Amino acid sequence: MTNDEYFASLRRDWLRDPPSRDTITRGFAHHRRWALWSAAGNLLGAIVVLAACVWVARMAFAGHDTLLDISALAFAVAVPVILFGLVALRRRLRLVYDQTSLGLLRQTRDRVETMRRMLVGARWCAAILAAAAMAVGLLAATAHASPSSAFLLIPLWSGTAAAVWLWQIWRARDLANRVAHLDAIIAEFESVDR
Amino acid sequence: MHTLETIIRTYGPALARVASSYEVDRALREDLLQEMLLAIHRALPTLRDDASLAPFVFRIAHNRGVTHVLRERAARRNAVQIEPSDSPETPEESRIEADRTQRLHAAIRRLPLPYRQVITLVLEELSHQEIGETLGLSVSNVGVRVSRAKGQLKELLRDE
Repeated sequence: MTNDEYFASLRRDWLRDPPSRDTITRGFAHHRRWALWSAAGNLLGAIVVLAACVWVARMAFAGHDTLLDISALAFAVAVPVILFGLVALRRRLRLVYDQTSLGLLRQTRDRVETMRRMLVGARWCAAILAAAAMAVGLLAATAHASPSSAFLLIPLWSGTAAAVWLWQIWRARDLANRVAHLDAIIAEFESVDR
Repeated sequence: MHTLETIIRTYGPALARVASSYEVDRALREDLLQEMLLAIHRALPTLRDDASLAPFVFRIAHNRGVTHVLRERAARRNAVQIEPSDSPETPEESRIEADRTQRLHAAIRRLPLPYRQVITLVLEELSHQEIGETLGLSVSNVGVRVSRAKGQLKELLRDE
C-alpha cells in the first residue's frame, strides 16, 4: 500500500458509497443466464442452418432437379458465411484475459487481422451466389427450368449476394477502424514508460 | 479453492469502481462489471496460486476494461463526459461529497490507460509488489508509473 497523503485523501472519495454485494451477485446471476441463453441460441441457429443445408442437398440428390442442385450449391456456399459469424463470436469469447494488457491487445490485433483475411471467403461467397443466380436465369431462358422457380430464386440469390458483398465492405471498414484504435492503444502502453 | 461468490464478496465493490474508471454511462458500466465477473469466472480454473488472488482478479478486470475502451472508441462513443449528479435532492454536504467523487472518477477516466490502471490499484490499496504482479511490471517500474500518473491526476483535478 502507498503511504502517500495525497492518495490517502483521494481514497476517501474513491471508496465512498460502495455498491451492494447482493446487487452485484443478483446482476451477475442474471447476466450469466443471459449469456447461456445467447450461447444456446447461437448453437440452435447453427444446427438449423446445417439441417436445412443437409435437407436441400438430399432433395437435390434424390430429385435430379437442376434448380435444387444449384440450391444445394448456394446453401453450401452460404453456410460458411453464417458460421463465420458464430465462429468469430466463439473466438472473441476465448480471449485470454489473464495476461498483461499489452499482451491482450496484441492478441486481439492478431485476431482482427485473421478476421480481415477471412473476409476473402465472404467475397467468394457473394460471387458464387451471383453466378448461381445467373445460372438459374440462363436455365430458365433455355427452358431447362420453370420461370416461376427462377422468378423466386434469382432475386433471392442475387439479393443475398449483394447483401453479403455490402456486409463484407462494412465489416472490412469496421475491422480497419478497430486495428487503428488497437494500434493507438498499443502505442499508449508502449510509450508510457519512455 | 476460490469461488465467484467469495470473489464478489471480497472484491465486488472494488471491481465496480474499476469499471467506473473505464465507463461513465451507468447502464454500460453495470454491463462492464458483469463482463469482468464473467471473465474472472471463466479464468478461475487457471488460478493455481491462492496467494495471488488480488492481482489475478484486478488483472482480468483491467484487461476487460481495456477491451471495453477499445470497443467504445471504435464505436466513437465519448467516454470522458462528466456524469450529472445522481440525486440532486440529497443534503448539501453529501452532494458536495458526491460531486467530489464524480470529479475524481471523471479525472481518472481522462488518464492514459496505463496510468489509469496504476492509480485505481493504488486507490484500492494494493502494494507496489501486487500492482507489479497485476500489470506485469517490476516494482521500480510501478513506482515510476505511479509518480507520473499522480502528477497527471493532480493537473486534471486542478483543471476541473
